[in-house]
Amino acid sequence: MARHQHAPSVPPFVRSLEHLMDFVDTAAVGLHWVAEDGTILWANRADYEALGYSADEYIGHNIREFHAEDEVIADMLRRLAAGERLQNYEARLECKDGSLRDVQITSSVLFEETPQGKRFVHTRCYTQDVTERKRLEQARDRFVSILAHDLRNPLTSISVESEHLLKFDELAGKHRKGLERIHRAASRISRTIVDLIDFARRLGRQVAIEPQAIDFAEVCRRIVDEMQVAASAQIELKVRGNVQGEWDPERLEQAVSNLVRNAVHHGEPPFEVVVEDAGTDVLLKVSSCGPAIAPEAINSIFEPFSHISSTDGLRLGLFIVREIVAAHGGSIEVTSGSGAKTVFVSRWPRSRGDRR
Amino acid sequence: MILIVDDDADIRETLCEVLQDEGYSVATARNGREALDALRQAEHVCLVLLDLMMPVMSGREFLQRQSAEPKLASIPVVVMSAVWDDDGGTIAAFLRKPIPLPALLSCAEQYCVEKQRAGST
Repeated sequence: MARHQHAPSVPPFVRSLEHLMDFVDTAAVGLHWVAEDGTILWANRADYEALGYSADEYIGHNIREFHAEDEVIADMLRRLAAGERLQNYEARLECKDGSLRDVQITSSVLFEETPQGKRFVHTRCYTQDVTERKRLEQARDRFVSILAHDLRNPLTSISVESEHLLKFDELAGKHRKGLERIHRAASRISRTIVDLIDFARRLGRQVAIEPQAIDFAEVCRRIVDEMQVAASAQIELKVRGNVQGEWDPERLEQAVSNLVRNAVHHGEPPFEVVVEDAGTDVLLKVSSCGPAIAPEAINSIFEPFSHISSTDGLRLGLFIVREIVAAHGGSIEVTSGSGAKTVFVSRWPRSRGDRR
Repeated sequence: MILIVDDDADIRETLCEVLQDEGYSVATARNGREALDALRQAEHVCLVLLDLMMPVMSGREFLQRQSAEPKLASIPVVVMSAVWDDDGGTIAAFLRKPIPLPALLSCAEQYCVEKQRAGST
């Protein structure tokens, strides 16, 4: 006799099959079984009612009829037949009234062993409607995009104009100092906006990176030079060995900049940036002195909004650093206390092959 | 000549002043349509500094139309915007707003070798 892969036993508290079927039929998530040729063998109410169909209009039909994109359902059926488990596979379904629903489908096939080999019994599909979430995400992206535009335009005028005027020698004394303050403030607002918009645009999604061959030391040198001028701080840069590799230049610059800014803003001198050869990785150590970070704060230091206060701001910078490091397959940790020194050590695999 | 295309009057004036002080001749346009008109009439434009989000004609539409006109297609365009998804049009460079002044000047230097002392149009 054919034997199923898994034969779940009926718990003693399920007194009848009807109770179980009622439970399944009234579930909020769409559930269905599909045969190897795509025929819908069984579905619960949530599955067909979400699309505006009755059981008769749905069960017995081919699942392809309800998918808006032919290539998507073809790919799903191909993968499932090959024994793959689909996890939150994104698809679009067409409702009876012609409208489209965005869904995420988790599915796998129940196979049974037969003397002739494995037999495709049916799929086990769980369908979650994410239309509203997608709509909100699109609205958020539009909002962030417009906000970015509206904030950056006046900032461009302030920062370009102030930097340009600072080139003129006739500007002296308190007027020059005032203009320098305006320029520094504009740079700070600008970085906060970059972090905030970055955070909002990617919420829940990994940072996208485009690695290319670059010199890690060159990026650090540029950031250190900029920060020394902007924050009037002495920062020592040490480069040890070969620190060439493949990273996303813009993201790497953002991460290094956030780390150095964090050190200068929250720590005390001496400030040190060390970038060193560590075999398949490059290590970046950014250190500062001053009071140690409290142990309870260390655990959540990379979490967004973890230390919101009027003096610390949103603390998105370190969260974004961790995301960028992770997107490159690396890691980051912080130690604070010994010798009144706080050190952020990040590990950056040199190439795609070295990323774990 | 450098053509600055931005619907924000302050940005147009700021960039105009900065680039003129650096010795470049400059023209401005408030949207993509004005920019296309300016390019068709101008004799020698070495660089277009282009905003994306503009009324009447956006920067993206400008890029499509520019690339479709053989006489204009080779003029380098530097996009100045908050975001650039690189989903259409070939551009010379992207400057994220707020634009760092050194990056702006290095673009101008790269594409406009001969500086001309002239007023804006």
